[in-house]
Amino acid sequence: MTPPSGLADIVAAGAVWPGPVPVTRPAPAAVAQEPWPAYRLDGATEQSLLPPERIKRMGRGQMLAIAAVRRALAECAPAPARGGETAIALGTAWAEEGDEIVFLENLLKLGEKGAKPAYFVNSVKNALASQLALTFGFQGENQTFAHDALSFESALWQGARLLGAGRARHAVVCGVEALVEFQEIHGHLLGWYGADSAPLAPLAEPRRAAGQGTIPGEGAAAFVLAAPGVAASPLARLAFVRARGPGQRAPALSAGSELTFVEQVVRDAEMRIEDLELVLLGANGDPALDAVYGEVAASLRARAPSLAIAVYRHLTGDFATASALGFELAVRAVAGRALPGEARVVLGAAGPCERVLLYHLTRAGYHSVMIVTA
Amino acid sequence: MTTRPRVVVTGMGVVSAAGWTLDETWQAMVRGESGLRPLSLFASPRCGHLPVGEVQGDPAERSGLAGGSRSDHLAVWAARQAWADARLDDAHFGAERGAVVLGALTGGMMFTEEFLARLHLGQGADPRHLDDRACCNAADRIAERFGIYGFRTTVSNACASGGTALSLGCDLIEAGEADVVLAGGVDSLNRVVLNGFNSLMLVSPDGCRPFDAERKGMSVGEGAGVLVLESEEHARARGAHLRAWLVGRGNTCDAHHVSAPEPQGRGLLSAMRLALAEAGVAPAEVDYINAHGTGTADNDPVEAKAILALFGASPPAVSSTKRFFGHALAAAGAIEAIVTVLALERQAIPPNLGLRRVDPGIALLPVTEYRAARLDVAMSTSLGFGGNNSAVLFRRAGSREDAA
Repeated sequence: MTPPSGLADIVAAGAVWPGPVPVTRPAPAAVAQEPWPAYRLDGATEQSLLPPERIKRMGRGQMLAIAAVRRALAECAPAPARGGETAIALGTAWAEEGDEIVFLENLLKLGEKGAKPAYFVNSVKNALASQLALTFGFQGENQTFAHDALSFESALWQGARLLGAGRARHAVVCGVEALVEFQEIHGHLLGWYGADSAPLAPLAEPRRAAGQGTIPGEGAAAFVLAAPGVAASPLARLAFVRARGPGQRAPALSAGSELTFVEQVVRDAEMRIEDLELVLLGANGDPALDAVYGEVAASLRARAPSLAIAVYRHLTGDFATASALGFELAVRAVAGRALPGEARVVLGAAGPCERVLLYHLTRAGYHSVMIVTA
Repeated sequence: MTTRPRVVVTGMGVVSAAGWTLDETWQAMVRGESGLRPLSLFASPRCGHLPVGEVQGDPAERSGLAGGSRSDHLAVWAARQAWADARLDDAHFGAERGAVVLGALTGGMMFTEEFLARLHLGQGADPRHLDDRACCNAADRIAERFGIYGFRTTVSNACASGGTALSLGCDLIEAGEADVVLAGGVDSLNRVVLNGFNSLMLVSPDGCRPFDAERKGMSVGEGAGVLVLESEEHARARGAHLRAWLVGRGNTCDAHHVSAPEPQGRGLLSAMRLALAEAGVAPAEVDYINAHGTGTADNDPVEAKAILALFGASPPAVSSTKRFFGHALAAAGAIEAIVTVLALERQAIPPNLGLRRVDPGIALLPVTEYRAARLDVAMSTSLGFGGNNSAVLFRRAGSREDAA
């Protein structure tokens, strides 16, 4: 029997959410004629996140991560100490792939003399976590996890583990992704993304079921974790996290096996479905995924009729570490004992929240469950 | 008070420019034969003359994988060796009790490059291979190949990734999340890596010479190393052969610079101290350090300062084995951890190949010839961009740890 994985108190949270409605962006002429939609921070917000002199050599992922951590630290008293007592665990599937692409494009256009060191340094995936260390002076373990939709969950597990093992007093855990045109091209060519710029309406919008796909997005969320009992009044507690990859490439997604996965995690967390008040789904408007999410949600509701089911990806769009933003919403829900208004309840009615389960599934078959409690 | 489960290495697999197997790798060290060869993997003005640690041959012929990137093939081949070495076919552990933790940086970068080139040339870019560019694919391929369905992740801590992957592997066992962990690292050569390090003026035109007075930089390399980590209880219950104990690890961040190490080596010193403290090992008990030793102007003196600060005027035997296989980035820490375990098993110190005259600014005297030695405890260190430092400490199987 797997014991509950590292428990931790969440003592602060902060996030940078993209705009609440998609913006339209010009598509590269080689790929599409019409502009395409994306959930992206607007330029003004971007500039306000950090002083211009700091932004100069930074990729957008670094900027988003620093902004999210600053927001978390702003509400954290006492703040995590500089030095070796504070660890960083960051999840990002693609980090600064935008800078990597610029580096490669320069090579293609100019030959090897076109190689620019700043883009190379940024292209290394731990550039984000190391910028956090540099900016805030945290010298403890500094881990970057880059495993698609398991990235943030891996970071969360490791952050809690470092506390549980006494290897850190605080762990700053972050999930971040910056929107990169290259990834938009990839997703559009594969038919993952739609051209409709109307905001996503996961589990509710029939147009999405017609195969128009989801909308890409970006964002960052950061959390300060402490071992249970260290903080006087934590916002919430990380009760459990489990993330798993598929058994094979391009797996057939099955609501039945997904339900089994969720139920097993709840059992391993020594809870029951009926103990939960809210389930927050990562449904993102992708018709194939929404179908599975819908069935799982209905089955959970059949076991616990008082359970409320909500979604949040209409606020973020689709990206591998969006679950970090969902987690921030769950933390706020537990801290305020009520689901924040921007989340959308799709089944049941949201009441007081003290136990929230987040469930995420991707096309590639990565899935995770996180449980946040008071 | 609960006792921390002890972690044991029960299997290993490696591929690098020095060889396709553990034995080939070790024999290269016995012979003192560098695996650095002129670049041939991709078109470049440096082809035919720049020495790099390029794996000779096609890893796809060994991995048994259909499709995937060069990194995927290297990783799966190393994992296949480790799996067989640990005799895991007979282990019958539950799929949920196995885990895969791999360090990786560049994944299938060549697919990205190919796609971009075709896109720019208007040649109808085919997006299907782009999924294979992700650095997490290698861990997924390993999990798929061996039916492992427990914790799985990819650590991307620059050139310290391999060491930190081993550390996380220990965490999973200690936390009760897994009984068996395939942990290690992989990376393959590509234009971004070669030109990136070259743009930073870190690539040696004539091959790396770690700690040498006339060193001119690193040699980029590629490869994979995978270690099977098990809880002692699990390993003993199935009668596994114990290759070495992983007794301590330390990970720190300099928080000093995005790419350069902190000049006094304080971060690495701290990581080494943490590893010793976790193991309850005194500095004087350490017999050998397999150093990161890239051969760059910055790395080598920093590492030497940290080692001397910890061990004083009589440090343990030290060697960097980078000239055997180049700097394999995320794989480096795993490959060198394997070399460290082999050193403990074979009771011999692999040489610091390429060292002719020690840099007078470096007060270390690395071992320059292969030699037999009594080794009970040995350490492998890794440093990476972003100021990441990792130290992993092993104890020889058959030493007092076995009876503890």
